[in-house]
Amino acid sequence: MLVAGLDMGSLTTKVVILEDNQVLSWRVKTAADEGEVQARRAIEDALKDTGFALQDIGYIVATGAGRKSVSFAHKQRAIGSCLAKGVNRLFPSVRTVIDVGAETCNVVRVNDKGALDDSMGNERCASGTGVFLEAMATRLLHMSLEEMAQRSLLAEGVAEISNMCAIFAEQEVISHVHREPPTPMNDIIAGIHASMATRVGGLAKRVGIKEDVAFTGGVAKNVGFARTLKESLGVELTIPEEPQLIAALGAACVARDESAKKS
Amino acid sequence: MKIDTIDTTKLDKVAEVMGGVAERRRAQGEAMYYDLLANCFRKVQRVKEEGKYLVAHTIFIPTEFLFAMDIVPFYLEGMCEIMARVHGLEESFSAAKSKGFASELCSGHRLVDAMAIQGWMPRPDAFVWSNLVCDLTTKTGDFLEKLYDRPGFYLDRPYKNTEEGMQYYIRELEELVHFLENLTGRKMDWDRLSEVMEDTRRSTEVFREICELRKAVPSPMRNQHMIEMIMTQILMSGSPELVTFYEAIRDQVKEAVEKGEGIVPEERYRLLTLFYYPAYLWKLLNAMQTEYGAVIVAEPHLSVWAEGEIDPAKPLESLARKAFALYDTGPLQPFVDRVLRQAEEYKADGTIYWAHIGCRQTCATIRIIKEVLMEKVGIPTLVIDCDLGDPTYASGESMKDKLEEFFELLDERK
Amino acid sequence: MADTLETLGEIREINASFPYTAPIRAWKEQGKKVIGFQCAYTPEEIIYAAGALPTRLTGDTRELELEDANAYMYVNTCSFIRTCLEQVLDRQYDFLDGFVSGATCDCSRRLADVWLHYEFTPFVHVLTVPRKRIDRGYELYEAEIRHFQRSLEEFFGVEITDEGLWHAIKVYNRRRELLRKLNELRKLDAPPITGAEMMEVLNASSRMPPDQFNQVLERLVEEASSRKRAVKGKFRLMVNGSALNNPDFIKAIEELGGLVVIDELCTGIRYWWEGVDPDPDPIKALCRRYLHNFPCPRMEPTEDRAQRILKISRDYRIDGVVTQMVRYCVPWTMEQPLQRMTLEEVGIPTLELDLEYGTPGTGPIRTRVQAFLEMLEARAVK
Repeated sequence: MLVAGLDMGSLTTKVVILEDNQVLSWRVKTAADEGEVQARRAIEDALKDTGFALQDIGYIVATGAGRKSVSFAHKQRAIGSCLAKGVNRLFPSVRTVIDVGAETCNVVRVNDKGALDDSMGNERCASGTGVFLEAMATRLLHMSLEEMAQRSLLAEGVAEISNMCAIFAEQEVISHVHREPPTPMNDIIAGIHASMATRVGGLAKRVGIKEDVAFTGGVAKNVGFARTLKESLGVELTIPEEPQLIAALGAACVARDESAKKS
Repeated sequence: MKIDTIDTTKLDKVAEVMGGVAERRRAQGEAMYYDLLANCFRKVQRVKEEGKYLVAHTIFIPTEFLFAMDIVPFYLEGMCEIMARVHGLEESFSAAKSKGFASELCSGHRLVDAMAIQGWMPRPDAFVWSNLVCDLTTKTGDFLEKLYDRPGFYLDRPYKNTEEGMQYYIRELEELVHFLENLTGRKMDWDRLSEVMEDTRRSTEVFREICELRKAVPSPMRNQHMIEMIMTQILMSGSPELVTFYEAIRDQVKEAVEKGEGIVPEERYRLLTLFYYPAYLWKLLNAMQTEYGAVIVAEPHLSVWAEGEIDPAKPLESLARKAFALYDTGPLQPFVDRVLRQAEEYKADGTIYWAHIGCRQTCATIRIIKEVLMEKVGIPTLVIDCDLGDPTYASGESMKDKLEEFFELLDERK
Repeated sequence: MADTLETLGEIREINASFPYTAPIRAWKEQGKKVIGFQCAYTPEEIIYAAGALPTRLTGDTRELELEDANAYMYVNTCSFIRTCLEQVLDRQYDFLDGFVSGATCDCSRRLADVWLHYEFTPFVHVLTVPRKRIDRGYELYEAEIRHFQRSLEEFFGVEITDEGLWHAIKVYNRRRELLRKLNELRKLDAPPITGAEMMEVLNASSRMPPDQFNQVLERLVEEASSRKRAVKGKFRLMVNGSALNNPDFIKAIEELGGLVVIDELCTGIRYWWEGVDPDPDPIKALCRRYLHNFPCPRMEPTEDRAQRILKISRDYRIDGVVTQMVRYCVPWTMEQPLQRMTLEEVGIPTLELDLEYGTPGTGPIRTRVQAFLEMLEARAVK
């Protein structure tokens, strides 16, 4: 039985295909097209070399920001329950999931039955999401995200950056760069990470942090930020090997369950 | 600083609009509430020609005193919000801001100040306000008194329901009566007040009945009825019209219970809601029912009128008991107990907390209530950030999305 | 001419280890109790007469990250209360044996609710404080204070005697008297103490046993009275707002030329303005003093406060007022339009700064203060 989960994020589309409840294939595709087309391309890409085609997939569940635009999905689900299911499959001891994507930040609480107790996302603010780091790295500091992540690990201090808002944070970064003498770049980066960790941590605290805690989403690949978040929260973070795929994996699990109900 | 001229056309327009709404609803048999609202505005329009006194008041001021003395009430928060919505919210918020009212203040109260600042609020003979509900109601009157050059009375309800607190409040109520007597040059007719209190007693009884009937599964009452019941409670407690209105709802609800019928064909989610629903989004309340089968079974903040014994022969003690039944102005613990009780009695699956960004005193309790509900009765809470009076804060669409996600969560837990 | 007051060094030492200051630590090491409070309507003398040390939660002298407080209360709770809560959650107040609050405004009473629910201290008491200063208000407040007295006696197993109360009243009256003396000196053309320094003194005042603090104050008042130091600013300002305890904020204003000669703060004038008058019944005396005191905006009606503000504006010859509106504070922001108009009517302009609690006075604030002072300058020329 072939099922698929699609996570239609703002920057990337993630696909996970399960065959008889085993991961057959997965893909992360940068969003180049609009919803429907993007989804189709992503699945077809994931099916390459599997010998299967789109029509072989018995049940498809779409999640993420663009989930409602996938007409061929059998069901669409909000990100919370998909994150819960995805993490629960890999790490049943996890009770809190902090998921940070390009433009979203979600925190969910999973109970010991693997079901969702609570789910909260960022509202109107991008300060706790991937675009914040991206903007800092490329626009302000003229380096890649990779480089920024690596350099933060070498920081000896943490530059003070007020974290009220991404806009003010930018101004402060600029003033740190142009200061006489300038604040060490690594420290500035550490400050940027600390500022974002406060934002992300704030949302997590509102939901309530219960261990074990998982950190997922594209930003979880950022080793520098992951370390800062861990220090800021004071808890160990379980980071899956492919953290971006968790919601898609969870969506695939939902697809598996839904198709089982049908039969 | 004083407002010299009042633009009476603003009130006239609102009365007209409300009348129009009532007419449109009549075909669906839903005019009763809107007729009552429209009449409130019309009575205010007619004060001069009828030679009556007009008293503008904040939420939960005992209208019984006003009715007993044939004074016409103008309910500040509710009526100003409607006026602002009819005439333009943006303009009104700007007017409030221009006089220095910070945008972090509750939008409901900013709209009250806006109506006064723009000279749209009819000039009353006096203002009566209290601390019932929050700090904002407490601070309503000083500014309005100055602006409209009218006398005012502040009614102070103590924080705790102690013997001394009760005595203090009863004397406050006595003082309010004196104030109204001085204002009108008439003495309070205590027999008439007892008659008015009899209406209060009857409406309280019917209210209680409705609350009991709502425990039935499936839920027999439409989501919006509680909001209508609260609005009318504030506008006309102590009137035969309120009794009639409550009885009409009770009869509807009773019939549904007797037939074993729910308000929706397929009831999927039984919800407890906390605090107050955004005023401009009644459509969403209906959509919740019709599209999702989500019925609101209890509102612990709002259904307090089931408490407090009313003895028409003892009006002041009765009104004092009624005021102390309000949890907003007192300690939190008894309210938490109430929420837990109602979650169980009404068999709620989940809770929605309307987190009004302008409201300090309710938002600070969200965490505790959410935790306790999960720990003690295992039900999850959705916190919806919204603004009571400002539709630009959170759109109906985004709220609907959140509700959908929450309903998914509830589905999973079944 | 001296350029500082030497006694301030002692003050700074006390404040340095805030909140668990060295004197408080010494007190606790004697096995005695400490009870925190956060509002000027809390009768400290009763706590002291019970053998415990009252210490005031004043928030911090810097802007804190409030993510933990946000989680327990909400993002829209006033930032002063959230700052206090943040410090509690950060375990900075673990030394407290109890907490007392007047249910004076929504945010302070909700802090009390949260404190009670999570049992941050073994003893918690909340007082009803009437908003009216009339007979029945005094009667109710008196009943509340008596409840509070009994509550303390039961919990801590002590007896609060009239003698104990009179002794406490004497000590606290002396503190008020000394603070009043110090503030009298600020009426001078060139006062011996700046507003920022006064703030430091006020901060220290509830961070050590009051009798010990009185000794420091005596020395300070003597030094200040000797007139060896005189500070003159371009303009004489009043600073007001609900709670403020950051001397750096006031310093920022004073460095630009606006000498702060008086405050109308809950952490300031409301702390020392009125003394306790003699009365055969010490509880009645306390009740009278605390309720009748210089009112905060939570009291109704507001005319009394307006009149008192006008009077101190005259007595201190104020050129302008800087109002720091703590973000999300309701009583202040609701009353401010009226207060501003009242002051404008007598020709005193107000600079309103809407701030997160603890802000030291950074760039944007300095710019606005500068503009305000330039405006005062232009008016003076006219």
